[in-house]
Amino acid sequence: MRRRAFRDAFKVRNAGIFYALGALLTVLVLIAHFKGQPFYLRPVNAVNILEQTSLLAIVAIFSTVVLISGNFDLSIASTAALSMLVTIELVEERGLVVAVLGALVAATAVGVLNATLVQKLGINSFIVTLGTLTAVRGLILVVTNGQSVALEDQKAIDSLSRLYYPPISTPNLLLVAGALLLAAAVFRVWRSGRASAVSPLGAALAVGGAALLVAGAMTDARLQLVRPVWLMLAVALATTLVLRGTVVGRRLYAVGGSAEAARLSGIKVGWYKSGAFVAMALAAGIVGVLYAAQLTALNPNALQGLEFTAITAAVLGGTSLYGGSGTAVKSVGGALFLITLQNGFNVINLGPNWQSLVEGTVIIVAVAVYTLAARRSSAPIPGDAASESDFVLDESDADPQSKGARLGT
Amino acid sequence: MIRREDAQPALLELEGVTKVFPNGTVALREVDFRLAQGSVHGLVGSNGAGKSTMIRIVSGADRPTDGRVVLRGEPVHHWAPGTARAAGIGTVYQNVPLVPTLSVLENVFLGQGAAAARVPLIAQLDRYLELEALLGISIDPWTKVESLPIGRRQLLALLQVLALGATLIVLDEPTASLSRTERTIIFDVIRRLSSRKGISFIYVSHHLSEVLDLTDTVTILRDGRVASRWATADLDVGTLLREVTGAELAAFERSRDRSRSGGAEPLLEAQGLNTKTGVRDVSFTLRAGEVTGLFGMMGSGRTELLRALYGADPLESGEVRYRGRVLEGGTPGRAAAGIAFLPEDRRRDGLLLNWDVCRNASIVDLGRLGGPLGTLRPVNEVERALTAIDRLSIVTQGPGQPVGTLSGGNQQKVVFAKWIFGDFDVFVLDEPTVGVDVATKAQILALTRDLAAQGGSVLINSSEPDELLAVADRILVLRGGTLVAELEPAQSNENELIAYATGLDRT
Repeated sequence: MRRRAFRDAFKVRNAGIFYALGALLTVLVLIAHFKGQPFYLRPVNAVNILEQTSLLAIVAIFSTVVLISGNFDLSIASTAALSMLVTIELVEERGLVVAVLGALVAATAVGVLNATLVQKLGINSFIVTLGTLTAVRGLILVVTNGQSVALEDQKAIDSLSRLYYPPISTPNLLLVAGALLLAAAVFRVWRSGRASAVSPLGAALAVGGAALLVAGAMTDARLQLVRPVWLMLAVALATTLVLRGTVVGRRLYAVGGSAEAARLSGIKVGWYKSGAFVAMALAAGIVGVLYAAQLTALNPNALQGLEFTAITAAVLGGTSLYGGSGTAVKSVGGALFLITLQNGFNVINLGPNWQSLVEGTVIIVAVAVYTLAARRSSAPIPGDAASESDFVLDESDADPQSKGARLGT
Repeated sequence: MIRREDAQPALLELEGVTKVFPNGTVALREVDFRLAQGSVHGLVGSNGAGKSTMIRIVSGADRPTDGRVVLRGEPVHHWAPGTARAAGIGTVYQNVPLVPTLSVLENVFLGQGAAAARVPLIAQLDRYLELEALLGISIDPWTKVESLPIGRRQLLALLQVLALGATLIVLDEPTASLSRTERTIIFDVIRRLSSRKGISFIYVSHHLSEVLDLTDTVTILRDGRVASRWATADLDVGTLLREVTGAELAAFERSRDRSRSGGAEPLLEAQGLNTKTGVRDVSFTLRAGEVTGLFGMMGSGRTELLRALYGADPLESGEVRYRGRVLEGGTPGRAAAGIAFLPEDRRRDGLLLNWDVCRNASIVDLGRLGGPLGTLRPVNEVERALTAIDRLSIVTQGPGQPVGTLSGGNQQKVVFAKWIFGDFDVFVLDEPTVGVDVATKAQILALTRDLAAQGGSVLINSSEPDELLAVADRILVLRGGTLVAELEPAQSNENELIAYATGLDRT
């Protein structure tokens, strides 16, 4: 069963975004090659892509959490910008710690406001967060009077920048990959219990691993990654562990899958939905602090549109807009895909007018491909009550007919 | 076994029809079926016997893997929903696919697409009145469908297929959610259409008495094969039940020597419950080791009472005590205290349809099945699912199968599996046997007794008096949101229950 789950993870419908990313990278590598440009995935460019992806990916991961819970949060870009503003305004006079805490408190307050309006008053989350998106942005414009704010005190700039820079080096990636392959080969032999029975795959793993170790010993395959990239990796890992491996994660999926079924199973639906908003806002706050650390200045219109880019990344990663499904890692994949696409326009030298057209088309094609893949792999299975007409694939369980036909007993 | 009927010309025949699904499931094996012109043909079998697949083949939704479909003596080619409809085959499903926000008239002509839009309204109305007269009913054509009771909607679905010119109508469990009077109306309509208009029906139902009542011929499916074919006149309930369930008759036999539980410890006490949904001043006590039945007509407030008890709907006044302690905190508070709730609409409220059996079965008990620090232990969950599959004989490909693809009875068993292995001792069951086959129904009732025998307390709501009389230690009757009687099954009967439920006891 476990092996089947492992193999299923590589099917197009489960890993679509990574196949799309692989295809995109291949195309860009080839284009760069034939245009006589340097290798597209050279370390400096790879690091660049990862850096641009990192903060978007963190927001996308928590957008995924909110989407899983069955809600939308459009206010995240404004919340992050608010956090930037508070950081920039406070850091010179009150110091870094107060500035960061203040920024996080302000951001979290927006999340609590969203959660309260949605859960206590029962207003649709799309509308509520559209409102906070606009209102919080308005607040920023009022406070800044529509003017950009830049830090001047060099000490403050230095202390704030240290949250973002300097880069931290990875270990030699070739050595790490080689060691992993060798370990996998050894594990296969150990599991089968006989050293004599080395399968072709096992042998390939061993040879490949050894080759990578040799290559790694000869080259310095280390990447210098800024702190947000490491944070992105940590957040992706932590969120994945919580979503997949804990009771809280399981219940969150249940709440988004069918709020009523979850409630009747004794789950505190309101807590989970509210918790998702607050976690999202806190993450937006952290992202805002990091943008402030990177830019040490605030344009009152900063980060506009981040919310939709984040939701797009989540959807590219296979997150359902109806709630109940989505994974953190695939949303990171979605964010990587979007940033790579934008980065790739420079390689192709495509004028800015064409970029949106291409981007939109690519997004639709990508989502269409694995929507179709998912549909094909779920042919109806015979069963008395499960006719094709009421077999629900990815939407919530809300079935308007049965709702309408509810008996008054 | 069948003589008279074979003299009639056949409208539809299946010859050696086999259906194998891409995942390898064989749903039908060499099924021969013959439907005579103008007859009402019953199709019965347990969940998973192949009824749905057969209906799907008749209605063109699926093609047979092997064998052929013969219509009016001609083998059909390119069998698809469109061709089947054009050939006069209509299907009415259990969940009627009507658009609630459109009017009756608009719904009836909905299936005709663009063609209907070009027909003048007056002509549509004429046709509608004609059809109404044919059925011998009257529904205001301008009413919005959402304001119609469920029984009317079934009739409307029938009108819809008739409007398309259907001469063979497949009825898939049309009465599963209907009241007694609504059923009678549907039956009259079916009889009238078959005798006067020569319209043929395939009637699928789990209600054996209905099948005996209504049909001319019965085909019994078992494990994807035709087990036997009968002229209904030669059948009785016992024979039919044996044929459906196979050799072992799984019908639930009530053990009359059940322990009386009058003095047992009270587990749940409801005191003066009132709700906005119409429950009026209801008080009762559930004791350990006891099955309490809840009976009433449609709209008597049974579901509302159960929902209020479980905290799914708020109480206006009154309180619910569990072992003497007042319960608070809505459904999470109830579940934490040890109260289980099986909702009426299991597909919508009881299960996460695209989750597998394993995750559905574990959702209410993750705390105990998990590891330290709130982590999940998939091993425990799979073990729980396997136990459930084994003990409740759930027909499934394994713990990893999505419950949305299980049959109705097996879905209900998964809902049971959620609660019965956990730390719960009060079980609130809302219509647990609706839409499940006789064998599963018997299993569920036996399970209900087991839960009580193990010291639990069960409150079971049902609109089937015979079911409650068979399983309950006492029966509460609800009318207009108020408790009107508490009856002892041994000293009561169906008529008495209905009399209390309808208020006839007063006259």
